[in-house]
Amino acid sequence: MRWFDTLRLTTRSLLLRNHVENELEAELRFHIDRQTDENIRAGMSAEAARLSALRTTGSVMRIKEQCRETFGVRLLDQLRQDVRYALRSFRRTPGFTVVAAVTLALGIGATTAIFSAVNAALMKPLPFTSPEQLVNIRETDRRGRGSVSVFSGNFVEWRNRASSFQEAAAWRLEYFNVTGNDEPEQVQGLRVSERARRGPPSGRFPRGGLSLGARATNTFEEKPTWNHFSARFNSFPTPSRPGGGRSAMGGASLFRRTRRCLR
Amino acid sequence: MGKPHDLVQGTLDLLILKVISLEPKHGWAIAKRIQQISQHALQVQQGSLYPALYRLEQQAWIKAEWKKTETGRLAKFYALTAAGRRQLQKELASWSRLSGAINLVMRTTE
Repeated sequence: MRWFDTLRLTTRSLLLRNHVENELEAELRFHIDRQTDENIRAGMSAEAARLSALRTTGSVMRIKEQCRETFGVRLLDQLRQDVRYALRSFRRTPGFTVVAAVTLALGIGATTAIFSAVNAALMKPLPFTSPEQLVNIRETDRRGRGSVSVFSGNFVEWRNRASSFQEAAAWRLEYFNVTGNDEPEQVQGLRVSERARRGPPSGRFPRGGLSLGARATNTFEEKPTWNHFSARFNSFPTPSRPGGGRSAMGGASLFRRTRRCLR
Repeated sequence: MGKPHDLVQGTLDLLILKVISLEPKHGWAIAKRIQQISQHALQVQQGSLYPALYRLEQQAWIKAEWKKTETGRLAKFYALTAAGRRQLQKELASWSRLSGAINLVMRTTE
C-alpha cells in the first residue's frame, strides 16, 4: 500500500496547502525552541540561546522550500502558474489570441484532411494478400504517353498468354440506371470481370476478390468484345472505401506472379 | 576531536531509519540522538534533516503523528512503518557491504 500512502500525502499537500504549511512551520519552530532550551541549560542567556539556535538551524525559508520540493507538488504548482500567466496574456492581446487559435485550427484541420486522403489512397494496403504484387496494365499511344482504353480482345490475349501474371481482371467505369418502386436513378459504378469479383481460383487472394469502392459493381462475361458484355445486377454494395484508391485508376489490372512488368 | 563531519551522501536516510526504529522520535530528537551516538562526530544539519524526513514520509517508510512531548508540548513524531523496516534491513545490508569493501581497500599494505 506504499503507493497509496504516497498518493494520500501528495493529495494532502495539494488540497490542504495551508494546513501542511502551518504544520511545517510549527515543526521547525518546535525544533528551534528545543535548541534554545538546551542552550539555556548549557548556561547561555535567553537572547543568546535563541540567536545561537537560529544560527544552527540556518535559513528557515530554505528548509521550507526544500521540504516543499519533496511534497512533489512543485511541478504542479509551476504548471498552474504558467497556465494562469498564459490565460492572462491571452486576455491582454485578444487579436493575437484569435489569429493564433485560427492558425492552429486550420493547421490541424489541413493536416488531418491531407493525412486521411494519403492514408486512404497510398498507405492503407489494398484488400489482397499480396498487394505489392498488384500492377496496373494499360496501353499508351505511339510515343508512350497517355493512357488508352484497353481493347477487350487485347485483355483476353494478355490474360491467356502472359505467363508472368497469376490472374488478370478488367474493369471499366460505367453508369447504371437503377429502377424500382421509387424514381429511377443513375448511379456511377464499375463493370468488373467475373474473376476479379470472385478472386482467382488459386486462393492466393481473399475469397471475396476485389472490394471496389464504386457505388455499384456489376459483372460481365469475358467475351471478346465489350459490346457483347451483358450486365447482370446482383447487388449494390455500399462503398467500402470512398474514392476507391488505386483500384479505381483505370485500365486492366493484372495480378503479377513475378516483378516483371508487362507493357 | 575535529570539526563534525558532514554526512556522507545517502547515509542520512539510513541513520534516520535506524534511530527511529526503536521508538518514534521528533525531528530535534533524531538529530540529537545521531549526534550523541556518534559522539558528536556526526552533526545533522536541519536543512538536510527535515527535507529527508519529508522525503522518507513520501516514500511511506516513516509515518508522522502529532503527539505531546514529556514537557507537554505538541511535536511531530516520526515512526517506522512496515515498509520502512524492510527498507532499513536492505540499507543496513548494503551499508555493511560498502563499508566492508572500503575497509578492505584501506587496510591493504602493499
